[in-house]
Amino acid sequence: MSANPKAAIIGAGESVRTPRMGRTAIDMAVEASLAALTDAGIDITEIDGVVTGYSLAERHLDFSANLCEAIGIQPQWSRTISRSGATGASIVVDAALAVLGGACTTVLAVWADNRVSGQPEDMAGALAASLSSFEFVNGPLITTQYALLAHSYLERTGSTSEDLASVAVQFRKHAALNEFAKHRELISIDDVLNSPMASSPLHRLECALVTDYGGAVIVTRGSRADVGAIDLIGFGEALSHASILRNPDLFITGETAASRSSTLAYQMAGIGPAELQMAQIYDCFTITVLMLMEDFGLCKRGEAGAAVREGFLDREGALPSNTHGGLLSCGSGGILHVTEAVRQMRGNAGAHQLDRRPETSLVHGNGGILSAQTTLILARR
Amino acid sequence: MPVEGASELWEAWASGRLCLQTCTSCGEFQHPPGPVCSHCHGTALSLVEIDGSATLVSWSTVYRAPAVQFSVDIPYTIAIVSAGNTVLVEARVDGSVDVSGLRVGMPVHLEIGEVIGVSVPVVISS
Repeated sequence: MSANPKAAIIGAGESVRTPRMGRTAIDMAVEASLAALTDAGIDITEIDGVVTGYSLAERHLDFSANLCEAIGIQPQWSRTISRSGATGASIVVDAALAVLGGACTTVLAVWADNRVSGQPEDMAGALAASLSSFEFVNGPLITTQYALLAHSYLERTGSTSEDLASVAVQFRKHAALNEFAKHRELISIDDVLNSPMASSPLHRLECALVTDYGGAVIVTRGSRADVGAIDLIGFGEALSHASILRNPDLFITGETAASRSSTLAYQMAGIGPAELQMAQIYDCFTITVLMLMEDFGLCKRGEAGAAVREGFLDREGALPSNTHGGLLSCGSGGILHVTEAVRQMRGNAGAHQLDRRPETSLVHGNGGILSAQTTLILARR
Repeated sequence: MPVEGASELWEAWASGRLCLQTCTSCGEFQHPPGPVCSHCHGTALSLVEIDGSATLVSWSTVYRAPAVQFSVDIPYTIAIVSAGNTVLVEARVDGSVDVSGLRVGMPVHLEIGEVIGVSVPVVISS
C-alpha cells in the first residue's frame, strides 16, 4: 500500500466559454483537457484512464471515446457517466476510485457541453420533458419543481424572497471579479426581485445561466503526486429519488440526500464544517444553495438565508463560496465548481484569487431535483 | 419512459376514475406509480379509487411554458398536494380556484379534470 492511500488532483483546466457557431462539446472537452494537462505538467501519454460527463446538446455513443480519439489516446480504463448536475463532482469520485482500485494510474476527468453553440432547440423544454409523465403533463419547468420546494421552504422557515435573492446578489459580486464570468455587473436584491418571474417564487435572476462550458482535472494516487497537489481527503455520495413526489421529507424537514453525502465526506476526511475554508456549491437555483447549506451543517435549519445576507458566503466572509460566480453568474457546468476550487487552492485563480489561499474546501454537486448528491472535501498538502 | 403501472393509471384517469397505485402487501400508496413498492419492495400493486380529499403542500405559478402545448394556459398554477394525507400528487390548480386564497396546509379536493386534453387530477376548492 502507498503511504498516502488517497487520490489527489494534480491539475485543472477550463475551456473558453464564448459561444461560436459549430463549436462542439468535444472541442471544448479537448480544450479543457489540454489546459489541465499543462497545469499538471505531465505528458498526455501518462493518461491511462478517462472519465467524462455527457452532452445534452450532442449525441455520442460514448462521450469518453470521442474525446479519447480527439486527443489521440487509447486508455486502459474509460467511462462516460450521467448523474445530472452532480456529474462534475461525481467524475472526480470515479477517477479516485479508478486509481485507488488499481484500474489505472492517472485519470483525466472531463465535463463539457456546447449548450449555446450547439443547442438550437429549447433546452428548458427538453429538460422538463425528462420529468416523469405524471409531473410533466401539468406543464412544469425544471424551475417549477425547484420553485415548489422553494415555496415550501419559505413557508416552513419564515425566510423571505429577499433571502433567496441574496444568494444571487452574493455570487454576482464574486462574478464581477472574474473575467470569465458571463454576467459581471453588480445587482441588488431589488434587481433580482424585479426580474421576470420564471415560476413563483423564483425569478429569472435566481436561475442558472445556460452557457457553453468545459472543465477538466487530472487525478492520480496521492503517493504519486507532488507537494502542489490537492488531496481528495473525503467524498460522499447519496441518492434519494427521481421524482420529488417520492421524497416527502423535502417538504417536511427540507432535508436532502446532501445531508448523507456530506456526513460521509466529513467522516472520511476527518474534518467537519467548522474546518472548511472555502465551499463551491452547485447553485442551479437560489433555493438550492440555502437547502444545501443546511444539509452541510453550515447553519441551523431555516437560517441559511440570514447567514447569506450577513455575508457568510462572501469572499471576505466566514466561508468564501462560489468565488467564480457559480452557475448563477459565471456559467453552466458543475465541473467548474471543481476547477475553481483547485485553482483557488493552488493560488492561480487570477484576478479573483482569494487573499487567503484556502487550505480546505468543500465542493458539492447536485443532480436532478435535489436528488443525486456528491460532496468532495479537498485539502492542500 | 413507460413504467409498469403507469398505463393502467392513465387509463383509469381517462375513464374518469380518480385512482392511485397502492401496494396490496403493505397497503401504502405510491406516486408516480412503479413496478415495485417503495415501502416494502413488494410487487403486487394495484389501483384503488380515492375520495379526492387532500391537503395543499406547495404551489408555483408558471410564467413560461416548457412546451408549446402548454402556452395557451400561461400563466398557470401547479400544486403539490398530499392525497388522503399519505401520498404526494402534482396537479394543476383549476382555473376556478382563487390562487391568492391558497394557504399551505389548507384542505383542497382532487377531481379528474383536463390539462392539454389529457384527463388528470386537478385541484379544486374543498
